[in-house]
Parts: sequence; C-alpha cells; structure tokens
Amino acid sequence: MQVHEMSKIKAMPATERGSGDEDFGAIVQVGRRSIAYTPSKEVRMRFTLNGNEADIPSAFAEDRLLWLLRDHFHLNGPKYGCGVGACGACVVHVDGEAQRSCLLMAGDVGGRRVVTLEHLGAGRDGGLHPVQKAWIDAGVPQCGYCQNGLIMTAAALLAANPDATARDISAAMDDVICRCGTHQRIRTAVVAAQTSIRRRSR
Amino acid sequence: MTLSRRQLLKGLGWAGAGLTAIAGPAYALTPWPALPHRKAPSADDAAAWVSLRPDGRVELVLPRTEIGQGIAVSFRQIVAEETGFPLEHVMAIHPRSDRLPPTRATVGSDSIKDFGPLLAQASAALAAALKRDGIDSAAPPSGGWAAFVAKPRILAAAAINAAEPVSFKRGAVRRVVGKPAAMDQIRAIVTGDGSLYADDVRLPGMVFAAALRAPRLGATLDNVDDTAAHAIQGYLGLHHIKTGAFIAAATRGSLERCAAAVKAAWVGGDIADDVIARSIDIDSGLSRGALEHVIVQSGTLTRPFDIDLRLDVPMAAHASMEPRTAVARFDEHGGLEIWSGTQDVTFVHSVVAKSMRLSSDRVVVHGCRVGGGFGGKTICVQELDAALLARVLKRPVKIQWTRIDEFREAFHRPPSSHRIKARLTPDGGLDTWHHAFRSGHVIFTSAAMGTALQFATSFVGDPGVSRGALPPYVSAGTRVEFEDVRLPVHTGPWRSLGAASNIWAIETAIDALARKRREDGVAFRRRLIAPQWPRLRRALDRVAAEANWPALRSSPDIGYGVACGIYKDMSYAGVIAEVTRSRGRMRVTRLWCAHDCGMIVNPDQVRAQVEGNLVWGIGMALHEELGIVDGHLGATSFADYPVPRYSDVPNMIIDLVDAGDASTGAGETAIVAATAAITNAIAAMTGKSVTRLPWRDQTV
Ligand code: FES
Ligand code: FES
Repeated sequence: MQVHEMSKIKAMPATERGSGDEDFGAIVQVGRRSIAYTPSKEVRMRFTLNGNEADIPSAFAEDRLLWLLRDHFHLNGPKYGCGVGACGACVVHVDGEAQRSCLLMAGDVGGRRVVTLEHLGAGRDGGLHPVQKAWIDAGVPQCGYCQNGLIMTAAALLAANPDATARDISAAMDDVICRCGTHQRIRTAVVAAQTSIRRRSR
Repeated sequence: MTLSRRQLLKGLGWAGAGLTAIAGPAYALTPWPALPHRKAPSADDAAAWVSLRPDGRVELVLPRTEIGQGIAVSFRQIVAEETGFPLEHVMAIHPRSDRLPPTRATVGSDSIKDFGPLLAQASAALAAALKRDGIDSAAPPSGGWAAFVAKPRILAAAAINAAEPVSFKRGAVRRVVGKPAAMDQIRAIVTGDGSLYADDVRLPGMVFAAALRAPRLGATLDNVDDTAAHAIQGYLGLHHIKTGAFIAAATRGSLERCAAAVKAAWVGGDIADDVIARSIDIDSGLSRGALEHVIVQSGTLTRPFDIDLRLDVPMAAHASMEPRTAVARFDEHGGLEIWSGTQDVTFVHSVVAKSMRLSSDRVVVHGCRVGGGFGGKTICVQELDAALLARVLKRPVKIQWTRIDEFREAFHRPPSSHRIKARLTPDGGLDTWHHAFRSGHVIFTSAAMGTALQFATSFVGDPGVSRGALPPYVSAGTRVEFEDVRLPVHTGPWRSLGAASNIWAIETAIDALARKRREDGVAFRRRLIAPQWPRLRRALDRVAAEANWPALRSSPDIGYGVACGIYKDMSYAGVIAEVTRSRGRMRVTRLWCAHDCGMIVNPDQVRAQVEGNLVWGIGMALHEELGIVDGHLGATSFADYPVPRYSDVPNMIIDLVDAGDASTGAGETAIVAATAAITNAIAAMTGKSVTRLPWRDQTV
C-alpha cells in the first residue's frame, strides 16, 4: 500500500478545494491512505479492502475493524454510532455479508474481502450501485449519518436475495437506526433498487 | 497559516461592508461574555454571506448549519433565483467563525423565515451590481472572472436594503425557488466519498481523548489509578483540565484499552430513582397553591369540570446518530482551529476564545455537517475539552463521545407533568380551561448556564418550557400556569422545546371533551378554534379531506385520531393517525398530515421535515422514555432506548399547504400534532384517554 510521510500530508482548507458536492465540507482533506500513528514494524495479516490487497498493521489488529477502516485507511463510509452493534451505522460487507465493523476486530478480517460504502458502486454506471442510485432518486438522506448502514444493509440483502419480500426488507432494515425519520423514503428506494436489480439480472 | 479576518476579507473580492466593520476592533479585541448570540441578522451580516469567486461561481457562506433540514440547497436556490446563476454554480460552504459575523444558533426553525429574505436581498443586490457592469453568469467579464473579482468591490448594506428580490414575493414567477432540488452533499453521503462530519477530520499527529465518566449522577471523582494504562502502547496520560479528568491515547483502540485499564474511584451521587417524578409532580405543586408563572388568566373558572386529566411526559433523548465530536489543533503561532458539527458556531467560538483566553481572531471554528441536532448540539462542551487538551498535549486532539456518553452526559428533553381541567358550556363551547404544568428547564438550563445565571433567571418563566402552552381554542375562562423545576439531570431544548409536550396535553384534553360530548373530533375543534387562527382550521380541514375523515370508523382493533397544533404562532399542522392493535402492541398503520409553513422554497425538503416530525411523533407516543435507573440515566444504546424503526413507520400522506403566506418553518411543526393524533387514535379504540407517554398496555 501507499505510505505517506506524515510531514508530506498537506492539510488543505476547504475553500481551496473543488466545488459542488465533493468540496462542500469545511474539512481538512488529507491523503485517502496514510500511515497509522504507530508505524507497523511487523505485518501480521493481509486482506482485500475495496478490491485491493492491503495490510492490517499489527498495531491495529486488536482494534475494532471500524477504527482500522476509519483511522488507518481514512474511509468515511462506515460510521461510529454506538459501538455495540445496536445501530448499524458502521456496516461494511465482509465476504459479501453485511457486518457491523464495530463488533469485529481488525484481525478478524485477515484473508477476507471487505467492501465499504466507498467501493459499493465501483465499476457501475456513474460509479453508483443501484441502491445508491435509488437513494439519490428518492432523496432519502436528511442528516446522512446513518445512511451508510441503510445502504450497505439493503445492498447486501438484495444481492443475497433479489426477490426479498416486504417482510425480509423490514427484518433487515429494522436493525438500522435512522433518527431523522427517513423511513418512508428508505422503503421507496429499496423497492426501486430491487426493481432495477431484478431487471438487470434478467 | 492563520489569516486574520481582515486579510481574509481582503481576499474575498466582494467583501461585505458589514463584515469589514465587524472584523474591526470591536469584534477582534473585546471579549464578549460567552452568551449565545441572539440578535436577528441584519443587512450588514448578509453582505458577508454571498461573494463572487475567481472561477465565476457564487460562494455562499451558510449562516445556518446544515443538520439535514436541507438548508444548504434551499439557500442556494434563493441565491440562484436572484442572481440568475445556475444552481450548480452556487456553492455553499459550512458556517465558519472567520467568514461570518456572529450569528445566532441554528435553532427554532427560523432559517427561511429570518435569514431567507435577507439572503434574497443580498443576492439581488449582488446581481444588480453585476448588471451595472453588464455582467451575469451568461455574459462573463471580458477579462475573465478572476481579474474581475481581484478588484474588491463593496456590497453595501444600503444596496442590500434597496434590492428587490423575487424569491419571497407573492405571485412572482420563479425559476428555482419553490421547486424540489436535491439535498447538498447527497452524493457524498451515499458514496462515502467526501469529508462531511467532524469525525471525518483527520490531522497529522492527531490523538484521541475521552473523559472519565461518573458511574452515578452527581458523583465526583475521588482518585484515579492509571498504572495499568501505562503498560498499554499509545497511552498518553491522564490529564486534569478545567472541564474534567481525561485520558488520551494515540489511537481509538488504545484509548478504549486504556479506559478499561484506568481505575477511577468516585464518591457521592446517591440520587433516588424517583427524584424526577417527585420533583415535577403537578399535583403536589398545585397542592401548595398557584404555580409560579401564570401565562394567561382571563374570565372566571367555573366548576364542576367535565374533564380533569393528569398527563405525564417522560424525559427523552435527542439520540442523534452522530455522537458529539470535535477536533482541535493549535498552529505554530498559537492560533486555534476547531472542527465540530455544532448548531452554534458563534457560541462555540465565543466560549472557547473566552475560556482559553485567546483573542477571538486567534480562534477559528469550522462548522461541519451535523449528523442530527434536534436542539442538542447547541452548547459548547466537547469543543472546549478538545481545545484544552490540544494545548496540554501539544497535538491535534479528537474527542468523540461514546453512545453511553450521549445518553448520560448530554442534556435531554425535560419531563413534564400536567393537569388539565375543563368545563363545557351547555351548547358545547368551552366554559373553563385550566392547564397547569411543571417541567424541567429548557432554555434556562444547567447544561448551558453557571449557577449564578441559573439563579438570575430563576424568577422568570422559562420560555422554552411554556412554548405552545396557550390553547388555540376559545374559552370563557382560561388559566394557564406553570413552574420550571431544577432537576438533578441536565435538560434543555429538544425538537419543538416544550411545544410537543404541551400541545400533546392540550390535544389529549380537547379530544376527551369531544368524546364526552360524543361529538366528532374534527367538528369539535373547528367550532372552538379561535378566529385569529384560520390557517389552523384550514390545516384541519385539509387533513380531514385528505384522510376522508367522515368515513373513518374506529373499532376496538383499529382507531382513528386527530390533532392539530400551531408552532411558534407561525406554522400549522393537522394530523390524522390510524392505529392498529396487533398482539398486545399498538402500531401506527397510516398517517395523514396537512402542513402549512407559508411559501415553500423547496417542497422536497419541507416534506422530509414533515416526515421526520411524524416519525418523532410515533416515538413520543409509543417508544421513547428516559429515566433514572440505579442512580444514573437508564439508557446506554439504541438497544435500551427504543426509537422508531423501519417497520414502525407507516405510509405517510402529506399535504403541503402553500397559500402564499410568508415563509416560516417546518423543522418542528408536525410533531406538535402527531403525538396526540396517535394517542387519540388509541383512545378512540379503548374509550380512555392515553394520559402517560409513551403508551403502555395498562391491561397487562
Ligand atoms: S456503531 Fe456498529 S452498530 Fe452501532
Ligand atoms: S438521515 Fe439522519 S439519522 Fe438517518
């Protein structure tokens, strides 16, 4: 993996960045990947992250997978919401299954395939998975913080079962909390995504 | 790397006269008391919001925080409407203390009402100034935008005041305002590709910190043994700072391991679990005579009463999905930068500058997208902690509250206890209305005020507690009185402040009166609504028509309830709920809402707000309750603090009423009617008012 020297990571004020969606945040952008705080001396494990081979530094092996993804790989998709598996904000796909990255240790994913929200739409039209596209079309997000969990959960469900019934959808989506109350639009979006996924698979 | 305000303004091109003035000594040197900024925005302020960028786009520095209410896109629509620039060429950046004059908190659902028209003025003034030079987005300056913008021009307050915008003009033809448009950052939200929230801020050398938290309410730290933590890689020590005892570590993983290894001993804190119920108990309050604050007293109160209801509302959490998070860093010259998803950048800036003894131009607060606020992210806590620790540790520090912190350390909606006694006239009018209630504080809260200020305000009724307490119904005799009570837990503003609780109580009592008379709930309300509220009557009529109310028949297994309410004398909602009993549970199976917030800037975002409010009504009616259990707040995660989930939310049919009235707000309106519509539907099934929230099956 690419390693940046800390001194070379340039903090750039948001006002100097591009425009529209991507630069709206008044946030400092640093390299997508950078070294961990404690550079690893010994590489313990490898896994596939968003399509690329990557190392799990030993300093992170005993950490929650969520921290490895957010703090070592600088991924913003999975979020911390509760840390005890009760909200779903942290969901990622491990070997295609929706898993709560706050409940897994980084070391648990050695040799496995992890996909985060960032990579969900890779290789698709406009870089969007049908679920993501449906989400935009239905205007689901409000604050947006929970949306990773909803989208990753819905995508895993529809991948495993494109013919998921309303009951299956409820069972899966009930486990992801959205406090803003976007539920009605979640329903619209999941149904639209399901229609589009079925059409493609035909 | 820190630029002074003045330097920044010089670089802006279209610098606002107002901001230039504010950037002078008054702002930079006078330490103002760290109180929230309450002033309404002025034309001078508005001059700082819009400017032209060297790339020919309009930049909008948001004076209001994006919390998911869609304010960024709505404001961009206003700017696009007035300037003629395409919506994609208007870019919004989050509130930043170095780019905005002091601005009041993003609370009270008043962004469109109080900031929208001014933003339209400023945008129209910008367009007029460009037009004088023969320039617009379709006809860029011949020498290019960059050269044009390099020559600073002043957008004066006078020009802003003189401008004639169309965004809010009744009957005007509009291209962008009034149309749906997607929420800003929606693509970044659904792809994860972008830095949006405070937790997405990562700085070189950044470390993490967490407060040691008391295991019981009111306990104080006696001693700490961190010997074991020293053996853990990444431990950066225990730090006693002004705001508490913290541990710091290099990574979040090591921070968690260290937190588990640190042994802290606490003393005191022996709060009885029933202290809240006892403190706010309305009947013991009334047994001592009149309550402290009488909001209205008119006519005479006559007995006997047709109804005499005791109504109780528990404490409730904001439970925003994003836990409170802040990042702080000092630059090599001692300037401080803070990133936080706060509803009040100005307040955070002033508290931090004052507490850290830094002149205000040395502190920059970057407002991030807020992952759910609901009134909860309005004070300065983790921001100051992070700043103090960044000074001590000499490194950037990130503090993120845990979910347990969110339930135990945050402030909450105060519990309240109500008694409503009412009497009908022989012809079915209201003869007597007496509503008395006691509640924890909302505005004058211990979460935001020191003891001195708490004392100073103790003779004034807390306006947050009494919000919504005046009934919109005509009564010959009316008395509304309340008492705000100091509680041993932090309470404060929650979506709609006291209005959701007060109007739930009012609408429950009104429904009980209608039932007593065997009169239809819509017809009864229509007769009693005071003449000054025609829009409330219209909302009620619209929702009744939408739901085909006359055809809805309640039975023991399915109930239909109605309620209506006014928020801040400005927005109106009527709600009808269908509730179905299934296996001992009550499920909301349909909701209708008519919602009137005047002229709409973006119907899709207003609709989203109404949906959110209705869902919160479901939570209030059926799910949410926070209490003290074993001496501490009794929730630790979403597993033990139930909020509405996917299958709890039915199909919602929303009718947006836009009759061209002045724009108001949508963020906190429908909740005031939603809760009672649901509990009234249960009452329609059982014949008995729901008198305690959330509804619990009394027969079990
Ligand atoms: S953060 Fe993992 S489920 Fe809540
Ligand atoms: S969009 Fe805010 S929590 Fe779901």
